[in-house]
Amino acid sequence: MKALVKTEFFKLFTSLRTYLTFAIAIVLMVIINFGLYIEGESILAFLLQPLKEYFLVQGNILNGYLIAYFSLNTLWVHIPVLIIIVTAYIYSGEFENGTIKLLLSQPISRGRIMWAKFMTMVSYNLLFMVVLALFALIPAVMIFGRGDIMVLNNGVQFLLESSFFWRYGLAVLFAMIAMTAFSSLSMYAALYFKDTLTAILVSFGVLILHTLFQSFTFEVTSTWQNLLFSYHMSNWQLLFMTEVPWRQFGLSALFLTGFTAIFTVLSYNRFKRMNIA
Amino acid sequence: MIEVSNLTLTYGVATILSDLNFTIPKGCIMGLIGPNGAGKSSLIKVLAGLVFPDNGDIQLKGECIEFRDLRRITGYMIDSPSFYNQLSGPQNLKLIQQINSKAGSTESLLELVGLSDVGSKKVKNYSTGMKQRLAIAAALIRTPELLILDEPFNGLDPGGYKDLWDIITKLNKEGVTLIISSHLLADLESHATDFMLINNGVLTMTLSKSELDATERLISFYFDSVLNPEQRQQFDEVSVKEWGEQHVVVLMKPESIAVFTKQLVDKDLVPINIKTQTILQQTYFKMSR
Repeated sequence: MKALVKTEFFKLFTSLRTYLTFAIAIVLMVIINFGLYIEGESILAFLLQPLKEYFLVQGNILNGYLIAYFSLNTLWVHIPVLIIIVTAYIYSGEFENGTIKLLLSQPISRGRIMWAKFMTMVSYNLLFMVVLALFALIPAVMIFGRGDIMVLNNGVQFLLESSFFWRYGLAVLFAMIAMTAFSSLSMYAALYFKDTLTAILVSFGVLILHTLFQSFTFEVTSTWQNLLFSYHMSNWQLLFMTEVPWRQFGLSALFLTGFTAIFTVLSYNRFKRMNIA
Repeated sequence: MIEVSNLTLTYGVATILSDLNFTIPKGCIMGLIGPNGAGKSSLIKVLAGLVFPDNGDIQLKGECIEFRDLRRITGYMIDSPSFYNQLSGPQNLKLIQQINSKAGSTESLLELVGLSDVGSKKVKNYSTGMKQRLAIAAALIRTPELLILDEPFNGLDPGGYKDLWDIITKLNKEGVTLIISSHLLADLESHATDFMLINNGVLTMTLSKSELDATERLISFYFDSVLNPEQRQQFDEVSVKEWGEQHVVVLMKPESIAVFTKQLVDKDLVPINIKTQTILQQTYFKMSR
């Protein structure tokens, strides 16, 4: 199994698209930081205008921590797309290149191949999120400094600087779980369509549909919210509330893990019984 | 060595392989023959564990196994070989070696297939022939007892073609059993020890090289002028299948061809060309029509 995972990693990290996704994510971070460096003060002044009538806002509000939070918040659509470009390809790439025949004609069970690929996918997600988190945070702190955080998240939330790291760390971990759930969907689509582009389009289509339903405010649709993937995916933001609603946060993590489990089992069954004609 | 019985494969309503029963003797070179769409590649895919048959049993050395378990002792080269294009040939081999938890150098394999000087050139820049050679090396990584090659001569230049036959012969002498699917009938006939002819998913014919050699052939004699009645009489003692103005097709045993041709020459009836067709070729061409 170890050898199999090693080969999957080797394939992943000898592929140009893997590095491109990292490069694009980093470039996006640079652009956000640069934009906020130029316009940040005026944007913040505009956002804080109503508050200033009631509060005396002191200190470095436009600090690196806020920028890091803002960066992750801004990229919630971009990150999943970047991630599934790689994760879908882990599976569909074998079909597109015809290497699936080479791989499956080796005396290894399909289950082991599937798990090796799954572990590679999860590892990539983790690595991507860690890199993203570091590039969102370190340059921002270097440019904008540190301070307490004031975020507009279900009202205005005031968070102490000392609580930032555990919130941010958990948010990254949660984002990793969310991205793995989304990757699992792309994994199933990749095994179903055997084509990366179709898998990306289908997965992204599901995300868009869920987001669309989430934006509906009719009474009927309000009960659906808990079943929407996008609703749970965005719940990393709960960590940036003064009082974290842990139950809701835990349920979202559980929902996403369940989502991953369902699509992993479906993918496993499909892959195991698939005829490679 | 391998005994397959009642092998049936369907895709939806289409029957691809229908109740195949055959034996692959140990140490043989089995020529798998059939026109396009006959089911050769599908049969190979079943034997490679890529496709699951609807029905059928397989015995390896007398022991019942699953079709996919055949991979333990088999190396495959399945139709157009594909590799990880971003890697070099040696890197691809290392990768396959790693998947199989094998250690050691792949140098000797690369040398065997004539790719020892490819260096770090990426597979995406390989010619078809180079990919074919690499596929052979990949199939040999596990030092297989059985080697299955699907159209291994596609894209090979004459040099590569000869090299590949040399490799096949060498491996066979070392005890490797081979199944080779190819359209190059004449070559298969001269190298293979056994033959299986498939058409429309049905096993039409199985025979050994000795049986093939003992079977009558269709011999076409071509002449540079129209045969007169006296010349035609020379063919009275053989079984004539077709009379043409300047050619005659007869059926005769292989050992009689030289003797009969000499008789014709002695009577000043010198053929300008002689073509022979084995029973395999006759059946194959009938199927292809």
